[in-house]
Amino acid sequence: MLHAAAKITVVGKGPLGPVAECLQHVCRTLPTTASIPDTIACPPLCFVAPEVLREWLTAETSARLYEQIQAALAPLGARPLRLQVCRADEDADLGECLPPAVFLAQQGAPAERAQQFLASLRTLIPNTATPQTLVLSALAGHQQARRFFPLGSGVAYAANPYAWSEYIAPEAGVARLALGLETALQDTSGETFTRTVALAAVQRRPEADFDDIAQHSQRFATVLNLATARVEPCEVTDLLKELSARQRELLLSSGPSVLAPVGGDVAALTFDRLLTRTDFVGDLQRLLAALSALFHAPAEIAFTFNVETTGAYQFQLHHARPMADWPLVGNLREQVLVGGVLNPARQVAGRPLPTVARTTTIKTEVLLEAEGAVLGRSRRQPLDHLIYIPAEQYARLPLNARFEIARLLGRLNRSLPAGRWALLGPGRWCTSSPELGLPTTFAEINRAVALIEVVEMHSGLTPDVSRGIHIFNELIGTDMLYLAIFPGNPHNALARERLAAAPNQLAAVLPEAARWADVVRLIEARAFGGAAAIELHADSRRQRAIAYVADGRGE
Amino acid sequence: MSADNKTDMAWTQFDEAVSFLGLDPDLAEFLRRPVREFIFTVPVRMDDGRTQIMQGYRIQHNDARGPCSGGFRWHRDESLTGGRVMAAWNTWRAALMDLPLGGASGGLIFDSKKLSETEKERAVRGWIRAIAPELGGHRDVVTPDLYTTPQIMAWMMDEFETLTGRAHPAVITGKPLVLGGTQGHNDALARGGVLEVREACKALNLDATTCSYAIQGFGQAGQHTALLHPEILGGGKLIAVSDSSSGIVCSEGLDPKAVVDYKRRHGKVSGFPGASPISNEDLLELNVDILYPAALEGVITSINAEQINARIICELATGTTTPEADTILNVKGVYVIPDFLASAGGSIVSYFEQVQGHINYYWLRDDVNQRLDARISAALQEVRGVAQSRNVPLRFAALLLAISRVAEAVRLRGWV
Repeated sequence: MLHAAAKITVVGKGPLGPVAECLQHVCRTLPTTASIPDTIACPPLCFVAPEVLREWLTAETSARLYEQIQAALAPLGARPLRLQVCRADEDADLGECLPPAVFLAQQGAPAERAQQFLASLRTLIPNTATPQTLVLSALAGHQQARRFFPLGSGVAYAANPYAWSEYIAPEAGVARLALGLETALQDTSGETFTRTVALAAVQRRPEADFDDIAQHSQRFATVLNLATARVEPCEVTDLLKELSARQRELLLSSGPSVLAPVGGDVAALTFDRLLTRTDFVGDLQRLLAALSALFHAPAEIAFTFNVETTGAYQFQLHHARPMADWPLVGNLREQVLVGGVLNPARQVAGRPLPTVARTTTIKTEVLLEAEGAVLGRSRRQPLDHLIYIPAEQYARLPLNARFEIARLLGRLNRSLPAGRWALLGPGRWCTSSPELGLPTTFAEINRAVALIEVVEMHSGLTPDVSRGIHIFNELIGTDMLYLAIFPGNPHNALARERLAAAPNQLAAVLPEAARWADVVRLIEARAFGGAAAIELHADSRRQRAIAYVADGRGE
Repeated sequence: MSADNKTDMAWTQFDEAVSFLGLDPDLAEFLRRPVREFIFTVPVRMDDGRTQIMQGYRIQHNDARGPCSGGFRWHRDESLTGGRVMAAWNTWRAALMDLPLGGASGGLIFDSKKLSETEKERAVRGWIRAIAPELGGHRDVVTPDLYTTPQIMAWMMDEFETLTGRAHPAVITGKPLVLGGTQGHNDALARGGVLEVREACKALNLDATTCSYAIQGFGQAGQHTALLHPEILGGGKLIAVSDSSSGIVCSEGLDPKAVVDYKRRHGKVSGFPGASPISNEDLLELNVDILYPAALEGVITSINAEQINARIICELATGTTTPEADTILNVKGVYVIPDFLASAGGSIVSYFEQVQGHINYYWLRDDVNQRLDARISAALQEVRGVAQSRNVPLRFAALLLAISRVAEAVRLRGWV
């Protein structure tokens, strides 16, 4: 089906960088792609080249500047805007995480809007030495009094990094959906839950029952306040009240609750009927397939969607690129690919995308290697600390002491700065069965960036690997990487002796816990000598991971 | 003792009780073993057409006092040792509450979170088909357990009735109300605990209407407890509550209904207007009259037991107090209502559902609550009597009473 061509403008000259070029190419190509349904559209887009953006961010305000901005914004209309910056330099990598998108309300006359835009831009977008392109896209959405919001926002990946069950085909893709602006999807505080749906297994959910579903449903959304021109949170229940019965029916589900003190059914935002009684999922799959074919690699997208009072829906595509990926191939001990996604054969708009295929030969120690159970987006994560629980020490503990270890880990979690440390230990974590693993709560480990389960306990018990399923929503809500090491399996290894020999900082951080130092080992990356960090590389597409002592070479 | 798993700990407690009671070794050995175990294979057709082979099991521990009764759960431990312990504890719990039941447990060894709803339905129907000859309202009653919703229990009953061609509402409990479920099932666990706190206040001559209380864990049991405490005790001041992520405290008192509403709306208690934040650990050490640990195992340990200030602890969650901490609390004179007793409300109301199914006459909510009150009060009184006469803590007294009742039934039947 042919669509109306997307309105695309470019302000300024010079290279826009691979991310912006990808989107530009997609928006020019999609309208002519036969497999794309007419529910999908590209919004009006404006690409602001690096030199112009730098001027907007730094130049003294002047009538000429405002006129330039006013002219740039004109094709986008008087609609609220989504702003995305992306690197435009030669080293820019499609695989890098993009900074979160920000949103602007546009109110008043064109001249007034230009002034508001510039003021907000300078508050929201940092001016960096690295050349960056600004991508502006017009938002479609609902207006309730002073609130404006797209009914929903989403991100989708053609290769599912969150396949929690062997009955979910990773190549069928996954989407994460939120009511309102996509801020809820970017929140990694663990306080906000969104709907994660495996596109080929919509009915399969990691929650145990409807109470579990309700507990892990989105409670807060973000909207644009048109009066204050600010993004603000609001309760999902308040937003839903203003929708039509048909819209609510597509978004809300109710189910039996044994938790509710009053008994009966409870309602939760699940998007279930939108996903199962319309062709929403099929349309997403067709879009991802078309884009993956275009990129010769699995695609990732960011989109908004709106549902009319009749139930008809429409997607707006705001972002599309090959999936962020950190490919780990071959013998990991010899070589780690530290570049991003790019395949030299891949082309966009008739020319090769820039390739970043740097490699590192690991000349220092490999601390762990894992294959078979990696959940979370692929990444390259430096670590300052490892908290290591040796299985042989832990397995000797009576059950009572295991609870004390769990509480101790909670205190460590609060004592260490958030991020750049990982947990490594035997069996299932966050289990209610201490004979099978660590009986922590997720709140006791939620500041770690990675959770590494070692699938062993003692000679009489090899606990079943959890694959993170019992803490699935929490892992996604904090963007915590999960992986499991299967000792004895090919491509799975743990440098126990090296980890055991490393100095233990536990007593320095928690003096009252010194008596547990043989069970809980707090290891600083610096302990391995000469390196500032441990590098953890995870490749969820290939289900492989490796952590090694960074030697600072090959970068 | 290797003390490596719950089995060791459970049987150590059993051995201590048997020794204290001076039971005949043959009788003790009989009580230790399940009377029957069934292990079977359940093929489950998955949504994608593949077949997942699952292992099912049912352990009937002891039926000397009446038909077995026990939960169905999705299990990950293939060894069944945990299932055997659970079946035995169901026997002791039924005996403690003087219910004419034995104990059982069973389930499927598979992680239910990997299954779709339709796959769950096929799995539990397959489980019923495999074990149906050994089930029945007068033989072995299946009750809900972890991750078994009223819908799952309804599928199980439907499958059993389809196989037998008759109505059998007493074979499954935890069913939806419209299919023969009972009133009072939702809040039974919390109601049982609060009723025991009421009796404890009487025993300690505390004016329950002025007592302060705190709740650690704000799931099903915690929320119901917050609401039922003032209803059953005629007052009381809720000082603090916490959930898995954080807690709130207010010395002026929190409105239980408002906190429950807030939790349901926001999914957490933090941020409740007018309250200050408090950690889960600090909540346990608050200066309150009554403490309800309702969430986690092993939260009261040798490290914090000395700092506990509550006069009454009602263990709504299983295993909240480690044995070392239990000793410390006993020395301090804290009145600990052990989990075994505090969480019995659910078992009693499950039995009520079975009874109503048998007679095909369903009681009103008040009837259920009054009968639960009578059972709980009587049980606590008897346990206190044993504790006083034998000079042992309530936890051990409860186990002594339960095991001695089962032993007596076995002897009277002439089995040993």
